[in-house]
Order: sequence, then C-alpha cells, then structure tokens
Amino acid sequence: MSEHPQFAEDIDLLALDLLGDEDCALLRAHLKECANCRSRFDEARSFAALLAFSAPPAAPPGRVRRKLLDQLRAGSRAERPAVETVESGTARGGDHEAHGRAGFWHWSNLGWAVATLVILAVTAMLSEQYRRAENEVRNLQAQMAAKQSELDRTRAVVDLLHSTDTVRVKLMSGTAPWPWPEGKVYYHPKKGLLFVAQNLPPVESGKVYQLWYVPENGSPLSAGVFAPDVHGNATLMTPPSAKVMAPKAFAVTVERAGGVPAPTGPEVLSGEY
Amino acid sequence: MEASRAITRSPVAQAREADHLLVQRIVRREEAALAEAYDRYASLVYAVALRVLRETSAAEEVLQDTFHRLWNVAARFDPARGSLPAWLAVAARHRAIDRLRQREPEADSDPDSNPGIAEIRLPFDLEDEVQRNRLFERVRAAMARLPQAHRTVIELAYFEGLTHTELARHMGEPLGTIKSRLRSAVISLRRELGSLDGASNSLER
Repeated sequence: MSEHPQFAEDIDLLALDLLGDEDCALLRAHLKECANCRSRFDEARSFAALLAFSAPPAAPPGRVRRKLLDQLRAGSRAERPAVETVESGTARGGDHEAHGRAGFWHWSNLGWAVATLVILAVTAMLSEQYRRAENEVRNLQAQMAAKQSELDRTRAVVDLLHSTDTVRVKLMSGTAPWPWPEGKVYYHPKKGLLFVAQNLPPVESGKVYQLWYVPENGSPLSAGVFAPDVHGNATLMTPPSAKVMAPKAFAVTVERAGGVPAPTGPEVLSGEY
Repeated sequence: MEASRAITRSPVAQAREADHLLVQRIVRREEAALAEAYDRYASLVYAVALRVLRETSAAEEVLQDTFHRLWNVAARFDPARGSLPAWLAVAARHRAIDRLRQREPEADSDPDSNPGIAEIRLPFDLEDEVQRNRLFERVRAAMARLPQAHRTVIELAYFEGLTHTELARHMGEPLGTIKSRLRSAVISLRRELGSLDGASNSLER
C-alpha cells in the first residue's frame, strides 16, 4: 500500500498516459525518490498494459509478415539467418540376413532311402526357416517404409514451419459461439500446406470439413477434406500443387462426405492471406 | 509441496524464458526468431493497432513497424525485466495513436529512450495461446461490464489518446466529471480484474 495516498490517482493516470504535463513532472520527480510509489506505479503500468488486451480480436493478413521479412532482408543482407534445420538421425533397422546353413553330412551306410528321408527332412526344415526369415524381412521392410514415410512427413512439416518464406494465415470464425473455432494455415508455394485447427464443432453424419484456397481471381480450389477428433482438433497436410495460383485467402466450409469441387456449405473459418 | 514448487518453474516463468530465448536469437539477427515472435504476438499487436486506427492498411503498417522496431532494439530489451507482449502492445498503441493524431512517432515506445516501457511485468503466461486468449477475454469482459459512460471515456482516452480537455470537449461534460469518470472506470476495472497476482491464479485454474 502506498504511503502517499494523495498520489494514488495520479499514478493510475500517469500509467495510462493521461496526466497533464505539469502534474506529470511533479509525480515523476516524486517517483524518483519514493520506492513505495514507484512500486505502485509499476503495478499500475502493468494494469494499464492489460487494457490494450481489450481490443477486439483481429487476425492480420499474411502479407504483412512477408513484407516485414522482406524489409529485414533488405536492411541486413550481411547476415543471412541461420535457419535451423532439424537433423534427424536415421535409425536404421538392422538388416537381417537369413543365414542359410549348408549342411554337410556324412554319408553312412544306411542306404539311399534313409539318406533321402534325411535330405527331405532337412530341406523341409530349411524351407520353413527361410519362409519365416523372409516374412520377418518383409515385415521389417514395411516398418522401415512406414518410419521413412513418417520421417519424410515430419521433415516436410519442420521444413515448412522453419522456412522464413512460409506464410502464416490465421483463420477465425465471425459467428461461432465460444469456444471459438480457429485454425492456422502454413503455406509455402513449393513446400505445400499445413493446416491445424482447434475447437471445431463435430459435423453431422455424412458431412466433412473442407479447406479451400481462395485465389485473387477465379474459383476456390480444394485443399482437402478433414474431420476433427473428439476434442475438436484437426490437422491437414497437403503437398504443393501447380494448380494453386497465389491464394489471397483460405476458408473452411462444411460439405458432404468426400468433398465437393466448389464450396457450397456454410463457411466456418476464414483468413486473409 | 514446497520443494516441488521450488524446482518446478511456473508457466509464467517458462513463458518469460521462452521469450528471453527468442529475443536473444533476434539479437543474433536470426530472421526465423523474429518470424516466430511475429507468429506469436502479431494478432495482439494488430488488434491494438486496428482498435486505435480502425483502418486495416494503417494498422498493418503499425504492425510491421512495431516488429521492425523490435528487430532494431532487441539488444536493449531485457525480457527478464519486462514482458515482451506487454511491450509490443504498448509500443503498438503509442505508434498507432501518434499516427492517428498525425504526430511524429515519439521515442516513448523505445526501450532505450524509455526504459519504463520495457519493464512492464505481467504475471501471465502469454506465450501460451490458450492462456493468452483467456486473459484477453477476461479483460474484454471487464471492460464490457463498465457503465457505458465510463467505458466510453476510458476507451477514448486509452485507444484514441484524447487528453482530459479533449475528452471534456468531445463529450460535452465538465473537466471534473471526466476526471471523476476516468477514476471510477479505473477503480471498477481494477476491482473486476482483481489484483494482478490474483488474476493470474484464477486464470490458471
């Protein structure tokens, strides 16, 4: 609590930049000498900063980010950013080599019949071992392919997110009730598109969400369909497409299952590029 | 319990550390770090600028300008002493009001010329988008609950930079009434939002 209650009101007004010049000079001089009032002023300034947060939510268009980065590059070409790359060690599965064993047998005097039986039995055993080994190799190859695909996808996402030329577009809803659904598009013309969303309400049976590129001219182009999980979260990753020509915005609509060639359903989210 | 509290950093401390690392990378001229800061706080800065200017192209310029200032003054900004989003929001507000009132940009929003602005601390986890949005909602709700006359006077003062005299002229009220309404509005908002620490706790519930 301030030991100088007479300054309490002016401290609040100064924190809000609303104090007249004369009062302002007097109070600033006092603050230099009074730790209690200075502490109260710090708290009032935090409170004043909170008022900035009362501004209605607004999503900036993606072009500002691009212009800002262009501005940085123009101003500081000397030091190119060391864009971090995530080096992922490739964990290679051990190659399994099926060791066929060549058996050397002593031929005894048991006769051809016994020898043939033994050979047949050994052959059957080796065949079974070979079949099992072959299956194991096939399974490992499938697992490696799946891991490789997952790794490629992760690399593509990391690459997309770390590229300074990737445009981030926030998609918001103008009408949905709390909790407001929202999404983010990370788009790079040569690296593809990643879309993540949250708070999406479930869609009725036979319907899906569909994401659209909205070009400057012409009709919207589908970027894919998706369904949110039970928590309302959704992710969609699509590769770059030559058909997409400089989108100016992105939008999400509700469409029939499987998607439609042009948007028909209600717009759930949108954001300007 | 005490021990675990001692060794477990709060979300606020973690957020501050995340911003600290980000600012250090910006100081090292990593464009990717500025892009990350932009992705984290551009909506906040743009919302403030748009609220002041009510015109998208001007707000976009303030947004770009604010982050360009961060790029230039990051070396003199210490996130351990002040909140990065608070600085960005207040700097955007100053620049937008300067633009609105057709004034030359004041140096007030620069941490080197006005250390105070870089030392605004907020006991909130603003690095986390969900926490950030909850805090914004809480502040908006508190503002919405003010009586209309009080809300108008504080919004005109805060977002449009009107002085006492201008407020009195604009609203056709005596100067004393304006001052009294401003004071009442501040007291009501403080009551609504609680003490800052208390607000922080309740937000983390």
